[in-house]
Amino acid sequence: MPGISALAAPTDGVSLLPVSSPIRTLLEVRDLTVSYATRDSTRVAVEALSFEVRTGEVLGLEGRSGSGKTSIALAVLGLLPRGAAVRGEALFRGNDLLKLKETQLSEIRGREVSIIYQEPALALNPVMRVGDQIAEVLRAHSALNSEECRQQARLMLNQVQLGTERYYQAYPHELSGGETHRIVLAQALICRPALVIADEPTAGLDARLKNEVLDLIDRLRRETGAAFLLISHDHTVTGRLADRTLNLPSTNDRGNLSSGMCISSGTKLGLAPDSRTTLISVRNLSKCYKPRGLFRKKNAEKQALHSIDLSITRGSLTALVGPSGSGKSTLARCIALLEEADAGEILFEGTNLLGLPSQQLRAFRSRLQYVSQDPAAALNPRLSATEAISEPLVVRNGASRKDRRRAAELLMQQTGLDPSTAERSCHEFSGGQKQRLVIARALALEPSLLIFDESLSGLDSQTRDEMLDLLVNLRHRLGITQLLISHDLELVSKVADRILVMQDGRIVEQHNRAEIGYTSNIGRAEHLLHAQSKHAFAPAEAE
Amino acid sequence: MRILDYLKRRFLHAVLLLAAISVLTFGIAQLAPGTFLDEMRLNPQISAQTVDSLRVQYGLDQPLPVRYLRWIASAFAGEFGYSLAYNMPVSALLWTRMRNTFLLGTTAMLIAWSLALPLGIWGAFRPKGWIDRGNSAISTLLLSSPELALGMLFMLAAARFGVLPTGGMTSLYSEQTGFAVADVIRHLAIPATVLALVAAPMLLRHVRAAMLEAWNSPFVKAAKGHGIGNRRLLLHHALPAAANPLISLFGLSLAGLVSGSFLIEVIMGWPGLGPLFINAIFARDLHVVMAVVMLFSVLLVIANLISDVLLYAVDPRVRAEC
Repeated sequence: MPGISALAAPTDGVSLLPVSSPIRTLLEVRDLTVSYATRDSTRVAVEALSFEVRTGEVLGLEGRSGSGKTSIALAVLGLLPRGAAVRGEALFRGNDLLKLKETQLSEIRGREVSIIYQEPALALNPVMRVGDQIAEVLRAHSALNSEECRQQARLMLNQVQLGTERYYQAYPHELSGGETHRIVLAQALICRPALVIADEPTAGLDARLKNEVLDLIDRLRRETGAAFLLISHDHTVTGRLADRTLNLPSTNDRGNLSSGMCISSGTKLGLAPDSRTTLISVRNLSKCYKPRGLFRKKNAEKQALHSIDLSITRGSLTALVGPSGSGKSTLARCIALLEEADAGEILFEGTNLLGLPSQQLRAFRSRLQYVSQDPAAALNPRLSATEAISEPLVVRNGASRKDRRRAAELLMQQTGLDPSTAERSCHEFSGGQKQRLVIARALALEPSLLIFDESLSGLDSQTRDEMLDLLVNLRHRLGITQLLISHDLELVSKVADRILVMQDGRIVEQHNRAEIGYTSNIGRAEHLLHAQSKHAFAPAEAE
Repeated sequence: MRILDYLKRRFLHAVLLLAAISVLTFGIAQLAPGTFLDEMRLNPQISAQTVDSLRVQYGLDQPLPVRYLRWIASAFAGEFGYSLAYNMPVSALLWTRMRNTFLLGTTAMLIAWSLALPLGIWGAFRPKGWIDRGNSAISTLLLSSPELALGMLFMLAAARFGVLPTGGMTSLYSEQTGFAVADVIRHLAIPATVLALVAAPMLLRHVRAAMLEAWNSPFVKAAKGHGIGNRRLLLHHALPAAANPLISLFGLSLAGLVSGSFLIEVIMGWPGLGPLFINAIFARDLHVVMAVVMLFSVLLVIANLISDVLLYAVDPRVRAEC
């Protein structure tokens, strides 16, 4: 078991560097085609892809969302869900992985070829200590007893800089995002595999954590000599680590990629952004979360908002940034009427929405549309795109099927989706497309204010830029006022007229468009936002 | 110690809950027309004076709150009131019958869980396989057939083949023959099986659903990607993750099976709480009814407490919350 023998001196792995070894092909993929059978058609995710990974090198595979990146990772290890059809060859040290039996594959998985999943928080068992989860991988592939496996897992944790015992004993929910990334990295490397397939290893991390994780990957690959197949949408990731990079063609012909510039007639173009009236203003808004129950713990109240004052000009794009836990989502949900504030006023075109009976609130709800962070959770996977988008219309006035269909196609066009895909069910769209669907659905009711609650955070950079274009577009063409909530200051400063910085339930800073260009002005905001990434390990206090 | 705080809170909850149940049961029982003495009044051989003096003697002439407080006092003294029909303290009636009911209930629960767990886990591992389909067909059949009919069917079979006794808990003279335990087990077989068959399909479906969810979760798929074998994945990765809903169900089934055995006890002549309870209701023997209701409430509360403690022990996320 060559992988295990290297464990004896984990830091001595430098000698394993394949510098002197002749360049050998480790994995050769030929004509890989992955397709998924859907209700009435077959969707090809990867088409006739060929590449090779050599011993010890980092091969970057770069492609936008929807280009089948994850399918490639899963296909190589035979982990695709049922209903996926794979053709082609994936030769690993001469064996075609695509033809191996399940039992043979499970010997290779984790030991020879390991995988780092896109979302580490989901890839970890919530009821198992993370240290044990690392030891489990070794246990499956070696003759070591449990105690020896645990010992090796501790050494591995040390290598990913989580060396203390409390990390071994921690459960996934007690760890921060960056820490879970390190755990899955440790899982992937504990058996000293020859190849690691990393599927978006830095997804969802902010710039600083991303750098830390990338540094770590770089160091570990030098120490272990493992080859990496690095799959990412982010060219800074592949550019930083990869020896060679392949660009994946997009198999999703999306038609018009330019964010739906084609606004057709029939939509209201009247409200120009220059009508400088206040659409919504918030005064003294407070919200406190109280634990419920007869024997609640004392002092467990959490004041999420401390008398917030803010006003949003009609047609403007306001950004609300702040570290997690600063109350920005609570504020958004209060304005969207999804949560009830304890005190204060929300004046919408002069009407105080707090205290209105629910019957009267209904009229306002359609004008305040909320786009949540997770589009996949906000869409019913059983509905088709048309049904999802036109559902608000059914609820509101029961338009005819034909009208709804036409409205849905128009909205899809406006949000940069191909109307010919209108009959696909929602779960068949990619992440970015789902977000467009959600926005299209929000637009169906012709809202005055669109609230985006971290709606851009899960998207790859290209899709995100397109979405930003879309927001700007919606604003200029439809005059829709927008409130954009994000933890990414850099991102929002590209588009926002005004940036509000929140911390501990208060708005601590405001910057207007004119000032945004000067980094010195937002220096403190920057500082605030980075403070979150440094927050230390806090086991029980997490939530 | 957070677990102690937690238990303290839960215990306070339980005490309040039981107090509320006792008040409600006592009050509602009074709403039913008639009292224990009304039958006596119809008997021409018993004079009205005798009935009235009994009324005073049993304290039935007192207002409702006083009667309730007296019952509470007697419950704290360990007697749980006085049975008018049996003319003795309720506690003397309760204990042996409770033991018998527990014996039947726990046996049935053991059988039910030992059927439901492996079959449910296998069903989640190989959904739509022949075992899973068989389970689904049989459990649909069992769920849709009434407990009573199932009991009758088994009794019919027992009478026909004469292998197992058709009712009761002991045979005559079994004490003398020295096979007392074996005799009780033979008597236990049919009622416990019937009860288990009634409870198992529901448990099985829950086990299967919880396991299926855990099995299809991203972390089990991820573990599979690390080359961990199916057996270990099922038992060490998926099962602990599925345990959370199953533990709550375990608490409910613990309380449910004991009270669920009433009907079977009555039709099969099992000398448990079931026949006592039903006779007490018809005789309007209020204190016996109260005692049995409170017993089951206490049992339900304890079962929930047990499942809460188990949850606390098994699921770190629960620990973080409380």
